[in-house]
Amino acid sequence: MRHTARRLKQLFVYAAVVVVVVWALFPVWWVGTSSIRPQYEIVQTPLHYLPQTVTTRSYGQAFEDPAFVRALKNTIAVAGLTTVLAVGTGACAAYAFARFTFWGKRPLFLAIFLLRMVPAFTLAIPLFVTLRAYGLIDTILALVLTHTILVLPVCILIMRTFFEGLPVAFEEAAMVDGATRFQSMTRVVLPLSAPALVVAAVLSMITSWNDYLFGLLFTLSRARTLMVAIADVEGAFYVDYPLIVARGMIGLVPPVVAALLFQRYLVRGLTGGAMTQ
Amino acid sequence: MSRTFKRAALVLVVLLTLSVVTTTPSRAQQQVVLRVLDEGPQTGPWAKYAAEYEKSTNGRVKVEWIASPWPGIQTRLATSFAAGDTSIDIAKTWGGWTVEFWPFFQTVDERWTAKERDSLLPYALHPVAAAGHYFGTPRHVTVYYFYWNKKMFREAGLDAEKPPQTYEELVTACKKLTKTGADGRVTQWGYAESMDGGSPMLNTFERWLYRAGGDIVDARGTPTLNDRRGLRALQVIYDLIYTHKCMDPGALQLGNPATRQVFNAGRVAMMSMWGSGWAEANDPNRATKDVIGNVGITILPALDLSITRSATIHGSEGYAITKAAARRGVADEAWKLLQYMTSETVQIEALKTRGYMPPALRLYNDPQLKADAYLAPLMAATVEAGKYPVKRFVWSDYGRIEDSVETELQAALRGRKPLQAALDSAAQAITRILKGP
Amino acid sequence: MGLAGTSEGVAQRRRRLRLQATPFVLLAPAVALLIAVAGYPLIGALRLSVLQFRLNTPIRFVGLANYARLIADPQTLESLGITVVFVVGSVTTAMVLAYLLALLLYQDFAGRRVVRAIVLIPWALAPVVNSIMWKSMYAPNFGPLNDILTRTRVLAQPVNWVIDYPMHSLILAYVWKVLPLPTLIVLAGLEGIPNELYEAAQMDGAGPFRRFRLITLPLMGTVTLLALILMLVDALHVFAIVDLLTRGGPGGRTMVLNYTIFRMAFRYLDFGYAAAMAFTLTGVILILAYFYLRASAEAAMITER
Repeated sequence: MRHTARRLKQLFVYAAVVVVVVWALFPVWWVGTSSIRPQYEIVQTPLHYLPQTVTTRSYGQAFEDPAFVRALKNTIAVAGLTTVLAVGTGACAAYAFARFTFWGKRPLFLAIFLLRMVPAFTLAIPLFVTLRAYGLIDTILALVLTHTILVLPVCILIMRTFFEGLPVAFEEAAMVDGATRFQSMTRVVLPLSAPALVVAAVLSMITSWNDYLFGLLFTLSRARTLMVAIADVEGAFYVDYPLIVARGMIGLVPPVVAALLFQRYLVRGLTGGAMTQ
Repeated sequence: MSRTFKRAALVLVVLLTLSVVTTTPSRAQQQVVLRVLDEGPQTGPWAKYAAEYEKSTNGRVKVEWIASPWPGIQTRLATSFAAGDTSIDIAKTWGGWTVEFWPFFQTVDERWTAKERDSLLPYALHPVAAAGHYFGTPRHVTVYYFYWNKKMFREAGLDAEKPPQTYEELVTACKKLTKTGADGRVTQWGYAESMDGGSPMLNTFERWLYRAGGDIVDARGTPTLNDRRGLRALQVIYDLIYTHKCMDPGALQLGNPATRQVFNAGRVAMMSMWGSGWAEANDPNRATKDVIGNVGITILPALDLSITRSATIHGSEGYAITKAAARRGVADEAWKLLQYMTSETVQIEALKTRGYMPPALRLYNDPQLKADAYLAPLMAATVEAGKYPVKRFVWSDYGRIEDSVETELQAALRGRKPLQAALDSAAQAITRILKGP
Repeated sequence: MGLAGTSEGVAQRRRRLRLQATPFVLLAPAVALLIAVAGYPLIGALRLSVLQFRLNTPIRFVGLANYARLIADPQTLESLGITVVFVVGSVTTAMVLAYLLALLLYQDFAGRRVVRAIVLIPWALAPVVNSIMWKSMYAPNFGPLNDILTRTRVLAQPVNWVIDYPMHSLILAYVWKVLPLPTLIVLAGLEGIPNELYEAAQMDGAGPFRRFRLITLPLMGTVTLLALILMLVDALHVFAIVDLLTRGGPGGRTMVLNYTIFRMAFRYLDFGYAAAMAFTLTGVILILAYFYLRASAEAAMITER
């Protein structure tokens, strides 16, 4: 009896898995075929789900555009620097929240979080004015700073949760052995927190990679990011859908690869350290 | 654990190195830098010629091309001007933006002679004219044409060389050209006009409104779009969709590119479209072999022959020089670049590759162009359209007006509001907007 | 304290000072960044909101006139209502689906790693491509959604999704993209519950549903809260999908507040009014968030170890 119940459960699980995979992949695959079809094939009845004519013209075109390649490089740079900055400063702040009690701790944490909830547009024009005053329009630095603001509260939250789950015993042991607070943080806590750091890093990277608004407002040509650049080929009187989608597909690769590579830790890193040891 | 740490650290180091390498600024030289805000280089030849000009100056002038999709240009300009930014020297513009942004553009009245102005199509300078001044050069001209698929005409038993000239003829043809499949679903629509939000909806209404002899506002700014001519125009669109059932209700969701796509795929027999429709319908990458070579182009049919044989809207665009450029002292260089970028050579290339019409009048009488089998129908149609009203509604606070009118028209065309009520609401909205807060 | 004058006392005091200074030193870079890049512009935005800052009129101080105009404008309330509908609809849908998906991914099956990775793909997709994709999916005559639904006879006629069901279309497109985030968080929470608890309960004769109700749910408190907060924040910030799919919806039916602010600033060029709107939205969010966090922080402390 238990065998049938278990078999039934397995069947149900596999059926659900198929549904999930179709849900996640079908739209992407559908739009992806637009990038390898000639434009007139995109609009047809009855629908043909498999492309009848395959052409990789659009991908070649995408890489021929120096502005696109530069946008790709820019976005890698911005995402990388944002991740480093956000995880670095966030880890320090999270450690402070997790291990110390000090005056203003709770309101400060609340304030950091509430700051994240401010709509980006509220800050857009004043930020633009400030950035312009410092000559930072169309620079990588401007994007790194603004993206960091977007991800910092979440990084702090994730890492704080993780640090709080780590037993203090490890650090106390290290301090008894003569390490300073800072050393115990870098040599004991951080290595143990690899999962949380990875989660924060991947989250930062993907958020920065996917940013559209700040890239749209704060860049012109030199620091153009990928998400904005993908649509830059669109004209009022001229649109090349296969090209836009091809560029979009190229932009899909790095964050997906990153997510796949560190997928194992994405799950583990989101809970307290003690529970998963 | 530490292995992952090391791996992650390695990745980060690589990223850091990459980012440092790619962000090393180029060596600054003693040169004039001109920044042009326009659509991407893929949309036309102008970027190419700007690069050519840069090369011809042997490093004295450097042109930076800031590519942006069309709505992004407005966002960029708005942000820039609001924050007193000086990053943009030349901006692509059209009538609607020039009305909004002219205080930030540099007047160039003294650079145009009357003779030069008269050598252009009358509505070519519209995109760079406001408040009684000129602010730049024309870039291209385009109007709305009427396209029809000759093969489908023949299949439906219609004369392929006689496109509809009146609304009645349009309806007759339209009904014959709408085909339904075995399952009751339409496989081919007779006629298409793009009506997806914002510009297309207002433009479609404008075209019929002008053919009905009406106008959005009168000279003093009082809305007239809800008079009986406006109602007639709106009724036409409504009837085509719901009464004669030869226009797809889904067209309310289709913008210009999508409408062209549908036509190029051979799913619709007739459409009204910009000149870019001609380039695309003859492009083997975009149109099926049933469409290529089987397309005709002409002026829009009349709504009422006693009013006017035709009327259309223009979508001309130009380049404006910003005050920021003038303050930096590069206005002269910018002007020289623009002269190069919008010369007749460039106009001809834009015409041949993208279906953008040239601003220069002379080219419409050029025997070589007229003899070109591909260009001849397009040019003839443009000349013909010029004999009748070619208008475009622009006004201050254009964005708000466009959005309000679009909301009302869409509601009416989705059957959620009676036509007259929708037009009246639109008129009230315009009055309110023009009065100001 | 008796050591006050001695070297040991001095060292102790120094240690206490250092101990007290350490958290602030650690916090300094993060806080400095936040103040400089977020706090300072926030004040700038407040300043903007009391000005009449339209592009072609002289800048004037108008006090609370913008706010008064905001309250008097019926569109504000409408936009607020639409935002509430969108946020509640998308967050609820996303949380429910995230739980189901996480439960599925928690099960043991061959290829689980691969499936977990596949599930992340929608999240990594460019917003622009996401919008083109859904516009294409929803297309009445050429979109797969209508095609499949009519071929399987679920629908008799193709439906004009974006025109006739704009909010539903928007929510689906949005949830599809954002789902991996809460799913991952919930999954992490599930994996954090030690197996012994389940085994013990099973030995006591508890069935799967009872185990879920009595073990899983209570222990998932913090995790659920985290996912909920992140979803709420993200939903309030929605922009790209609205801009590219419905552009505010047919007749303004999907003008969420964030998008209204964008329109007001960058299309109508009424920056002062847009800033006032943005500030009001910020204020509402902050008040709600504050009370919510306070209430659930206490609840979370109860459900935590």
